[in-house]
Amino acid sequence: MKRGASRTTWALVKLALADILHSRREILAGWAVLSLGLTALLVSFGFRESIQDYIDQNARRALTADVRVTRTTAFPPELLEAVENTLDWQESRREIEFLANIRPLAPEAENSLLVSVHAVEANFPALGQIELESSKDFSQLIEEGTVLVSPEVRDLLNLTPGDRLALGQIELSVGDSIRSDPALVGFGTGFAPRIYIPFDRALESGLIQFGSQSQFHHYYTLKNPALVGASVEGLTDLQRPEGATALSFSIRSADRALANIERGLGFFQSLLALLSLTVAAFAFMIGFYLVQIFSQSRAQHWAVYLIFGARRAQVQWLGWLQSALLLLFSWLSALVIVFLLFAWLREAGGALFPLDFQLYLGPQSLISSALVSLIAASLFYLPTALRLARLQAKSLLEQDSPELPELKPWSKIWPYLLSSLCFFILTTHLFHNLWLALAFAGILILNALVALSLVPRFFSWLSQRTISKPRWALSRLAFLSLSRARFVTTLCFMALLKAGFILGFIPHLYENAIVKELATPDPSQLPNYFVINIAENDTETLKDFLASHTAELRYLSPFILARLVSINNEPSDLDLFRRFPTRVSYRGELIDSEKVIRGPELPPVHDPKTHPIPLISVETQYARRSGMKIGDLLEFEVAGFPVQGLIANLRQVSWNSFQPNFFIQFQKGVLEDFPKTYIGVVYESPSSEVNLAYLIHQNFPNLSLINVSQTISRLAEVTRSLGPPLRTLSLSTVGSAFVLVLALIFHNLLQRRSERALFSQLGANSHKITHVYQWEYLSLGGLAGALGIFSGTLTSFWVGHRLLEAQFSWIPSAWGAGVTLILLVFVWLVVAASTTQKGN
Amino acid sequence: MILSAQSINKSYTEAGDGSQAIQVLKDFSLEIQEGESLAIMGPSGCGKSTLVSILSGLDQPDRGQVKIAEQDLYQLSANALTDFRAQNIGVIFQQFHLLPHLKAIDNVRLPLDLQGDDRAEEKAREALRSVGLAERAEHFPHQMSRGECQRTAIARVLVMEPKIVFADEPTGSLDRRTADEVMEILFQRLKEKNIALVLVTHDEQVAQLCERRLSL
Repeated sequence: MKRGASRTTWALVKLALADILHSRREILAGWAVLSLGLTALLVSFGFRESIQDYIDQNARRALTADVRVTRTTAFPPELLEAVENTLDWQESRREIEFLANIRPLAPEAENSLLVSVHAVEANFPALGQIELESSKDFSQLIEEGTVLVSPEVRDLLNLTPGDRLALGQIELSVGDSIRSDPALVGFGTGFAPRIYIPFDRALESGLIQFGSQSQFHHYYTLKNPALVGASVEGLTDLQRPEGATALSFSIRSADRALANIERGLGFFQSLLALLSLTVAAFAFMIGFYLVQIFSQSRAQHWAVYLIFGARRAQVQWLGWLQSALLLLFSWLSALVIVFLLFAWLREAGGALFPLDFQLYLGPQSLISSALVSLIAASLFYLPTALRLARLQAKSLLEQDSPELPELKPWSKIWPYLLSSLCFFILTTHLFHNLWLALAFAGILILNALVALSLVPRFFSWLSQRTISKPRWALSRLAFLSLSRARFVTTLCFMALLKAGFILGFIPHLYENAIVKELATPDPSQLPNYFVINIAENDTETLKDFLASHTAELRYLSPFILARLVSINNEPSDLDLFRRFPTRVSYRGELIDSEKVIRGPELPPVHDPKTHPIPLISVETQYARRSGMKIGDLLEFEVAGFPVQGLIANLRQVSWNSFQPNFFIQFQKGVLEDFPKTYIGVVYESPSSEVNLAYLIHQNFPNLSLINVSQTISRLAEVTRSLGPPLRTLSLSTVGSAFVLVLALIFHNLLQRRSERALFSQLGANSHKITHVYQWEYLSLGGLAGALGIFSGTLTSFWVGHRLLEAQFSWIPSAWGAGVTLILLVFVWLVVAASTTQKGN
Repeated sequence: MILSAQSINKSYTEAGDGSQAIQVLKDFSLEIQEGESLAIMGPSGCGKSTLVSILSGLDQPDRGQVKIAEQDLYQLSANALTDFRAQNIGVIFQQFHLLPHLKAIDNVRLPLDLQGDDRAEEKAREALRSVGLAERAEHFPHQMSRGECQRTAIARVLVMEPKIVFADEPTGSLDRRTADEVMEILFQRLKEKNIALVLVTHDEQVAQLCERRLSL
């Protein structure tokens, strides 16, 4: 009996396979769209898993400890004691980090370089190991007092071990270059390449002073690393006890060590999820529809099985198996596609990802996608299962071609509602955000409402308009067909609308918000160098020195560290203020790169008689982020003294001008007596032939110079590298939408064979019949594409203008228009080929 | 006796309001002996198909009893009835209802496969040979003539060696000559195996072949 049962099961599997293989043309469209939808989901799943694995594996290594605390000045002993009493720590390390320029002392050397200096003790780091090119010991070389440089510094300055460097007021000998550094997990060297020097030498360099860019770090490994969360909580409580503002410091824990990278990759992941879900939503809707069509045409087969001894449960299982096999083939195809795609991305897209980032399909992605496929197979089959439950074998005696019985309205609706709910859960899971998922669902519903209400009405109107025009007879037939709001028409319209939207949205946003914004600075207006750490008594000497080398120091601005204590007498809880001091300045008038957009301009000098509280100007984005508004009273602590300021206006700053700008600016006459350094910019004469940077470092070793053109070209490089993946993503989505539509058209034309036969009986030749269908799909594509591009452009304007505050201008996109045109021609040809194909 | 139907009543409610019932069969009784053939004739809508559905265990009567080989069909559970039908009752249709994606041999072995019979292939080939289609075993239905399709459908019934076969207008889609050929094969094979036949037909000539005729 058991043997017979397994034979029956195997027979059913063979029957299901035979049916699928025999119905290749019917299955082809379903297989294509579902493979595409699952490919989109797999890409998103794989990317997400890769990010998570990367963060999990690298976070502790990147921090080189479990917890790090940081201040911009040295930790007072009582604060350090409080920190160490809070943590149950095992080992500790200390480090001073600051930006400075180094200058080789070889006679032939002409270059200097801005570097990130890390002053450490010999036992650094607490976790992991810094490996050197020559396999010498890092600790030993630090103890010997040498400087260890990153490969980038070595190559840019052409250094070899034993070469000597000037750093501020000290000279150091190069010990070796670094081969691997656990702290370089992520995007590598970043803004300035790093060097390691002995801790004590940093103190002798003269570069560690109040107001400089120094950061004093203390690293701790915990006895129980799993308690890192509790340790951070304890430190957070310590950060700002009532009335003890001097205890401020920032905390970084291992679990948040790669937060910036996580945010960057997370943004890309969200964009990818949006596009993947768009493709998957349409693929599943079309797949759902095609499985219904396929299943319903199997009513006769199932009645035969029932009459020849199959139990109903066996027939149900066979029906489900066919749906599952279709999803299984699609899933396997998707796996192959994504496997090849990731292999290609690992080769071609290496520069886009952080160092050591591995893009791969992990077990979670495989299980998740298999689960999605399995659930989809069941949901796709559900409406058929309900109808099959009522199918009677006797229908074979009553009808030539039996059909599945109709269901009551509620029974018809709930499988669709359940499917929508499952897709919504998938959306929420991929976005990791309920509101984004709701917005996505809302847009889809809106899209469907537009398609269902607008499309039939519009084409009905067109058919009325062409009723008395014999030349439009064929088009009128197409319009009449479109006015019936069939499922296929609606889906095609929605998919093309979305494709048009992406064609309008992504290129515009990229061009306006990123490329154009970065391209705005006129190179002739940009300074050559941005100078920081100018001591007060060096300002005049520096000006004279630069003038003697046909260069000019402009926009010299005081730079003061202050701590925001309260807003409107309420202690500020914002993490932004708790982590680091606020950098404030004062000036009597606005410079070119800033303008007041709300409120009056500040009087140049503070007059206590007219305004007892000094007035301040706040940068508008900073005000928005920290919830400040005009009229708010801010209280700062500067060098231990309280200073108040009343917000009088909000300023807009053009940050890409590379002029010295500040979030908070006071009137003159308030902060002059506090300790400060200056920052400014240097404009060099175009005809100058001297190596100005090298000369400045030779004469002013304590200054740090940032080469503006180098920085801009690095930023531009990053921006340019964003373009191709964004374009590829949008083009893939548009391409996918067209593949979905073409599959639907192909299948739909297969289904409409009897309609074509009727046209033929009524005297239409094949040329005319093809024209009707071509008109039908091109009218639909044209309307959906135009509406989509328009709404996409409008949305990019809104996002760019309102959210990113970019100046928007419409950019005619040749490639977008070209892609649309090519795809429309392709639709034209596919329709022609499908309607004239033999056997159709 | 192979089939015994006692006091069968069946009525349908009209689609829509459901208030008006149409009585199709009223106190209908019938007995058929082993190996006997019976032709049921009557105008369209008189209840022939309904009667065949009830007698073959495909539809339940409102009242009455149907016994095949002494088994009361409607006392069986759904699954038991399915198994009983598969082993004892064969049905032949006007439209053949062969599965288009299966070859002739696979269509014939279908009932055996569904029962998990491990000699399905051998039995199916023998059944095809018995209807003269041994050489068409590997052909799909669309590659065969209508007469061949109906012979394949007959083989599909014979392969299970049922006790009774119900044939609903088996020649309705065939031309005269083909119909005669198909009927000759059917009657021959049923006679050989002593299988009873209930034949629903409009065709007087076909009805003449049966031992007994019944008009509804």
